[in-house]
Order: sequence, then structure tokens, then C-alpha cells
Amino acid sequence: MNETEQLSLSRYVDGDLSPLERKKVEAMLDADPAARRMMAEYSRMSQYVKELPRDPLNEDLVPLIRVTLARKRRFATLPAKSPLLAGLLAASVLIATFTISYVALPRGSDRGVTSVPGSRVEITGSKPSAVREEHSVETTAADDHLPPIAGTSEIAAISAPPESPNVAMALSQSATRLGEQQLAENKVPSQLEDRFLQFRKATDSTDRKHSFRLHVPSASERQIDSILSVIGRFRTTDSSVLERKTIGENKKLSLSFVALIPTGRMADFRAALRRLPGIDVEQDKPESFFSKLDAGNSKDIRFVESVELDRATRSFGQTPPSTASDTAPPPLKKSPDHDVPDAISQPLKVEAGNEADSGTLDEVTILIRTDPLSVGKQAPPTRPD
Amino acid sequence: MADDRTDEEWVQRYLAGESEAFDHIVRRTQDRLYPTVLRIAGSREEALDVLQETYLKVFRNISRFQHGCSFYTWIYRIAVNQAISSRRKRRLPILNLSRSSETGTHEFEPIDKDAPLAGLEKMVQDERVKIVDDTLRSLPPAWTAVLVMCDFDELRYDEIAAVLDIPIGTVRSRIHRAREELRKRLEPLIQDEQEPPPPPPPPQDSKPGRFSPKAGRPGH
Repeated sequence: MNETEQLSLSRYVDGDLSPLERKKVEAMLDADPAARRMMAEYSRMSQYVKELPRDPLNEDLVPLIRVTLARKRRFATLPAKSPLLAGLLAASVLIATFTISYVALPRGSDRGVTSVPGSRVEITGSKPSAVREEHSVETTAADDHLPPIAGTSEIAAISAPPESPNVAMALSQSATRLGEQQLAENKVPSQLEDRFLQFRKATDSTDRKHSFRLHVPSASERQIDSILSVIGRFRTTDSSVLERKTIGENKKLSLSFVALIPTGRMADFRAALRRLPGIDVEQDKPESFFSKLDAGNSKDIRFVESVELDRATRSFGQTPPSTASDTAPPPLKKSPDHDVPDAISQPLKVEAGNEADSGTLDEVTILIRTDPLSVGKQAPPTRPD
Repeated sequence: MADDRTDEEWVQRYLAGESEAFDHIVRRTQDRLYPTVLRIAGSREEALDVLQETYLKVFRNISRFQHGCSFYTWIYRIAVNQAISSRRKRRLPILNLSRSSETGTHEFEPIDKDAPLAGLEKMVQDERVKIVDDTLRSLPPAWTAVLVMCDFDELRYDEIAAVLDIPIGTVRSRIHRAREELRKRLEPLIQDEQEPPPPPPPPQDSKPGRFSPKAGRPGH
């Protein structure tokens, strides 16, 4: 049976054939047992998907949408030439580092999750920013996705962590130049506005995430998969990168990812890791990316330099162009076979390794905190209108 | 209180300045969109994010909604594409069903030992649903989406083509490839199942479709 015939069978299952085509397929089904078997399996696949439960939402999204729209509205009403807008893109640097490295045992040597004694997961991490928690003005109930509404006091949070004055200053200056450029053009593109919302969302979750390193010196693939499944359940949606590599021929594998775990879920996250059979989780230890940097270990670290805000800021981190005519944004990346209508949802960040050592297991993401709302006056949540 | 207004009427009221109408729009559509978005996005957390982004886009572009078209078709299109986009930004660990099935356990979720003992049939059914769900999510996002729209939401091929804005021929081949891949990945499950395969579907000219009795580009 060739692929065209298989395609016809699949279309037959979906009732997509013309009467003439259907007769041909039915003749084939009468004559060919393999075709009958294939058709039955396609039909079964269709039935399997049909039988998937239609899970109820059990949640009202209106409060969520209202708060986000209120923030959008307040941002849209900011005075276009306010000097404070220059601080629109003032940056702070936050890092989420997740690295799992492990040496996989040869396949077949360990099929049971519990059969690798002494497997150990070491978690090191920095504490969440206390500053951010203090300045949260409002939070939305029962949702980790929506950021709290920013107040003017959050300006205090738009500063570099004390460990990173140089990096933060450079990023802040770059971001400020960008903001001034937007200001000079007396426009804030709607895409940028939207990107700020998304960015804000991610950076708000940034204050609720930790810098971690997971290290599994010896684990089976099953254990790693189990860890992955736990991480997949807890990480936030933005700026998550998951990568699994095989290094060398000795089956040493590294799995690195940058992920944001909401602080509110960290306890559950740790508990879920600890529940994994055969894996012992050590106590957390503070670990600072910047202490590494200060200690001259920067070559162990791969930077993420590019932060995609929108088309206008795609070259973020590079020297901003000097004239408005130079600011023509590059075209949006488009998927070859699929485009989101009115696509403005580009990845919040992209990775751009800076020639780091290929053997490094570290992944570092630098996120630029922007807080456009904090430069305006605090306004109560408003209805969408 | 029964709400006998249509989605389109609520859109009209919102555009006329009745801001509370947007709440009605969200509440009227969120429960209908969620199952589809959940199947494509892969998790509740992702699905909620996708829905939020969807409504933000609707809010921003609602003035561009063309009257006389189905509002739900329009928002469905936005939500599905947003869900596909969301999936593409993530890289989920690939579930290796064959490896899991070697031990007869499914390792993606820890076993809840405190769960009440259910009937054997229910357990088997739940396990199958979970395996199918996980396998569906392990497909490329565009393939997951077409299967969800075709089988889960029972859209016709031409409706799917309109939602994704791709030629119907692409929909046909994509559904076929997705289904074939699903079949390959679920082969252990198929072999395990003892029951006879379901009978072939009765001949029909075409599915009734979900959006409209006749083919057309939803929303526009």
C-alpha cells in the first residue's frame, strides 16, 4: 500500500472523500486485508482522540483579563514625553539558571527507577528577591501567571542586584538609550506595548524564581525523565528552554535549561523532586552567578545577550542606532508553515551564546527588567473599555 | 439568568461602549475554548496563558472583527494559533512510550498511592486516555493541532484549513502524517488492546462540521 492509498484511507475515516473516491477506497478495502487493518487502526486513532476528556476550565478568566487590560490601559495613558519615560526601560538583571547534568547509565543496565543507589540531585540556588516581594502592590487571586500590579514603589526594584553593578549598569544604559529613542520618536508602538505586557509578565515571575543548578552525577534515563517531568509541571511558560545533549561517546549526557519556577511553587517543586524514588536531594546552597563572574569564571558561563521585546527592540543589547531612520525593525520571524494571525508573540528572549566553552554545562539567562507602569502614577485597576 | 444574546450581539454592545460586555464575551467563550487549547497547549498552566493572550488579542483587535461572521470562529482561530505558537516556544521532553511500556508503568506522573481504588476497567480507560494524551502532546505542535481540530473538535478539513490559513491539501497530508505517527507511537497500546478494532465508519459525504453547515472561511 503506497502513501497515496494510506492518505485516502485517512480521508475515508474523516469522510473527506468524494463519492467516486470513496468507491475506490471501498473496493480496495474489499480486496486488501492490509488496507482493512490500516483503516481500522486509523479509525481507532481517531476514536482515541475523540474520547479524550473535555476538561472543564473551573475558573473565571475575567478577573485575570481585567487586571492585565487595566495595566495596558494605564500604560497607554502615560504622557508620551514624560522625562520619566526615559526610565521606562531601566533594567535590572535577574538570572535563572537551571542545569542538569548527568551521566546516563548504559541502556538496559537500569530499568527501575529505584535501582540506582546513591543517585543524588544537588540543588543550589539563590534566594528570591526580598525587595520585589515587599513592593508588590496587588496580586491576583489564585493565579501565578498574572503579575501583580506595579506601583511606583517598584522603581526601587528596577536596579541591579548588588552583586552585579557592571553588568546591570551596562544593560541599564543600553535599555535607557532605547527608551529615549522611543521617546524621541514620540511613539510607543502598539507591539511594544504588548511586548511590555508580556515582558512584564515574565519579569514579574522573575522575582518569584530562583537561580538553580541541578546536578545528577549518576542517574538512569528514567530518573532524568522523571526529573524532567517534574520540572515540566512547575516551570512557567515564558523563557523556558529545554535542551538535552549527548556529549562524547561515553554516554555522558547533559540536560540544560533555563526555567522560571514561581517562588510560590518552589516548595512543591522541591518536594516533588524529593519524592522521586532513588534520588536524594541535598539541601539548598546559595549560589550566585555574579560571584562566579566576579571570580573570573565567566568563560564557564554562556550569556544570553539578546532579548526580544519586539521588532523595534530586536537588537537589544547592541549599540542603538543614532537616527530614527535606522530604527526600521527587521521583519518578524515567521514559521514556514504556520503564522499566528497578527503575530506579535515572539519569543521573549533568544539565546546567543558568546563563544562559550563547548564543554560548559552552565546556561545563564539574563533578563532585563522593564517596568513601564512604575514610572506613572499608581492607578486602581480599571475595567476593560 | 439565561443569556439569550449571541456572541456577536455582545461584541456589538461592547463596541457601542458597554465595557461590561467584554466580561460576557470572555465568560461565554472561555469554557468552550479551554478543552481545545488544553489539548494543543499540553497543560493547564499553558492553556490558561494561551487563553489570556487570546483575549488580549481579541480586546486589541475587536474593532477589526467583521460583522456578519461568527465571533466564535474568529476567537477559536486566534486561540488555536496562539496555542500552537505557545507549544513551539517550549520544548517538552519526548515521551518514549516503548520504554515506559517495558515496565508496564507510565512514569510521567507519580503514582498516587492515596487515590481510591477504582474499578479495573476505569483504571485501564484512564491509563489509555493518559497515554493517548501524552503521545498526542509529543507530536509536533502543528500535527497535534490538526488532530485535535479534526477528531477532538470534529472540524471539517476545509474549516481546519481556514483556521490555520493553509491550503486544504496541506491539511489532508498533515492530518494523515500526524495520524500515522500517532499510530506508530501507540503501537504498543494497540497491540495490548484485546478488543476488536472499531468498525469502519459509515460512508458519508462529509462531516457536518462544527462552525457552519457549509464550508467557509471562519470569521471572515
